[in-house]
Formats: sequence, structure tokens, C-alpha cells
Amino acid sequence: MSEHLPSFAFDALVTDDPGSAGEAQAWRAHVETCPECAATLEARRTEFQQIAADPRFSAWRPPTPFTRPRRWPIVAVTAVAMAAGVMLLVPSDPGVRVKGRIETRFVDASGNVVSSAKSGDVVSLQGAPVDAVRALLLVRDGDAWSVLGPIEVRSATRFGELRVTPGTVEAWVVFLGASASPESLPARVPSPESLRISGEIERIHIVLPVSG
Amino acid sequence: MAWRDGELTEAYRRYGPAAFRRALALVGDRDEAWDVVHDVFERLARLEDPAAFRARPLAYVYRATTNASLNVLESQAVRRRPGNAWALGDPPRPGQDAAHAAALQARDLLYKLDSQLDALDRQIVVLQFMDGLSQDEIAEIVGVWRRTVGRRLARLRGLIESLGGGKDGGAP
Repeated sequence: MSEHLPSFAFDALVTDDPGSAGEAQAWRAHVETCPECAATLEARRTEFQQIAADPRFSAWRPPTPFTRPRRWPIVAVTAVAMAAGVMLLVPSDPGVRVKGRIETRFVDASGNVVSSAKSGDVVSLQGAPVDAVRALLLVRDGDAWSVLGPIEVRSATRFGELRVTPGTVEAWVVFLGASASPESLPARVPSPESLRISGEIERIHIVLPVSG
Repeated sequence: MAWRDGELTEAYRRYGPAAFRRALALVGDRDEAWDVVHDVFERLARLEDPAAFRARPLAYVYRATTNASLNVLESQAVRRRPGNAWALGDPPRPGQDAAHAAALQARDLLYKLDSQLDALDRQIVVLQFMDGLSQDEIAEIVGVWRRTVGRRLARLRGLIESLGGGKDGGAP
């Protein structure tokens, strides 16, 4: 191996990546004979340790992984509710709404789940289906609903921010796929059901109790 | 087969720093890079079957991080597009390492060629011009045939020449 190793090789060696086991022996042999690559490998190892020491690294917690046993009861409950002609309004935990594989939640500025809020607080919505690229936020505004967005969706990123007003915060999140092209959106709609967008993936209703 | 207990946490601990380093090189902003990393692992957590991740974990994280970073770059480009004038982030400064300069050059290409690239092209630009990977390595990471990578690279080099950058386009 006459050239220096690619960046991927250093990452693979530092992480001891099992998927690169086939190449790792040759990479290690090269490092032993190439002082420059040996220095790069050591620098990469130090850099990863520094990244891992960043509070934002340790701040992340894995969401509850999707498992099939969890899915069916929710689908069943939803189906029963729909058959009865009623809408499922109350989330399983305040501030969190799980629908199928999707968990949408209210979070504070630090990303912590908020189960209730006070008037004047600012909360954000977080969470998205895997394939969603944008979302619309429908927020109750008197007798109608304000339409906000489209907002770029990244599931770990807050994508809609609300200032809490007295009463219950109630919103609909309409997730859109790549094929959706909502160029001319109304600013207000009489009801969430009256807004239909081609390319819609999912819509979720979420409520947040407000105290004070 | 679903995630085993603790498996995802271990994957994050092991590959998270690599994902962050990669995201930072591409998006050029620490906060956005952390968002990318967390996004990658949130999406990973939602996989019904993590078999593809288990087979080649680092390659999977590379691909997912590149995709997520490219989405951020796309939205940055939209934000920075007054009258369709391309604006690149900071140019390489003296003292920055070669890898960072390569990342900026890859970003430059992505911005300049934006409308002419599809998702696969973008991945290939990053893996070739930022990572310096071979066609075989690129093919393995993005999951296409090597000859597909070769054809795409030939077309990309033509586009780079049309920018007036010569065959190298200013990229490694």
C-alpha cells in the first residue's frame, strides 16, 4: 500500500468496526510502516475521545426502539375508536403522542419531554416518520386553525415552536413526503380535515395540558 | 430482528464520534452537526430490522450521516440563495488540515452543481472528493455496482470541467 489510508480506514480502526474486519489487517500493517498514518490514527483516536466528552454527545438517549408488540395494541385501539366514529384525542402520556411507529412529543429548549406547560412557556414539537421531509403545523386559532410551514423535518430536531397560551395546546402535525409540493397553502383552515395535501404521509394530533 | 437491549446505545457510543466528525466536516456548524448525529441515530432506532447496520456498521453510519448532512446542506443552500447566487461557507484558512479543506471543496462542488446532481451523485461527490475513497469502496458504501460509480464519476468530472475547474475541479 503506497498511498496513505483513507479517512474511513482511520475511523474503522479507531472504532474497531467489525464490518471492516477484512481490510483492517492490511490497514494496521500499513500504519506500522507509515509514521504519517500512525500519527493520523492517534490524532483521530484523541479527536473521538474529545467528541465523546462533549455534553451534547452524552445528552442523547435512544428513543424506545420500535417493536411489533407495541404497535398492534395502538393500531387496534385506533381502529376501534375510528369504528366508533370518535377521534382519539388523548395521548398515552401528556405531551407525547405515539401513532404506529411515530412518536411526536413536546420538548423544552433543552430537548427534554414536556408533559405540561404554563402559559407563556415556549415549547417545540419533535419527532417524525422515517420518510417525512417536511411538516405542516396546524394550531387552533379561535374557531379556525392556523397553518404553519412547511417546515423541514429532522426527527431529532425541533421542527415547530409554540408559545403556550391559556388553555390546552392542541396541534395537528401533517407530515409530508418528498413528492409533496404544497406551494399555495392557506393561512387558516376551518378544520384540520379540510386541509388535504397530495404526498401526505401521516398526520398526528397532539395535546399538551396547560396550567396557570 | 429488532434491536437487542443496549445495542443501540453501544452503537451510538462507538460510532457517534465518527458520525459527528463527518457531519461537522460537511455542514460546517457544530450545532447542526449534533442535530445530524442525533437524527441519524433516531432514525436508526426506528429501523424494524437493523440487519443492514449490523453487517457493516461504520459504512451504514457513513451513508446515513452523509445523507442527513446533504439534506442540511440543501436547506443551507436554499437559505443562502439570494437570486440564485451561490454562496459557499468559509474558504479554507491557513493551518486547516487537508481533510477539512477537502470537505469544503466537496461542499463547494455540491453547491455549484446542485441542480445537476441527484442523491446518488451527491453521495459520490462526498465519498470521492472529501473522503478520497476508491470506486470499489464507494460502491460498497452506497450499495451500487462499481461500474455505476465509474459512470457517475465520469459524468461528474465532465460537469466539473464545465465549471472551468479543470479535471480536478480544485478537489483532490
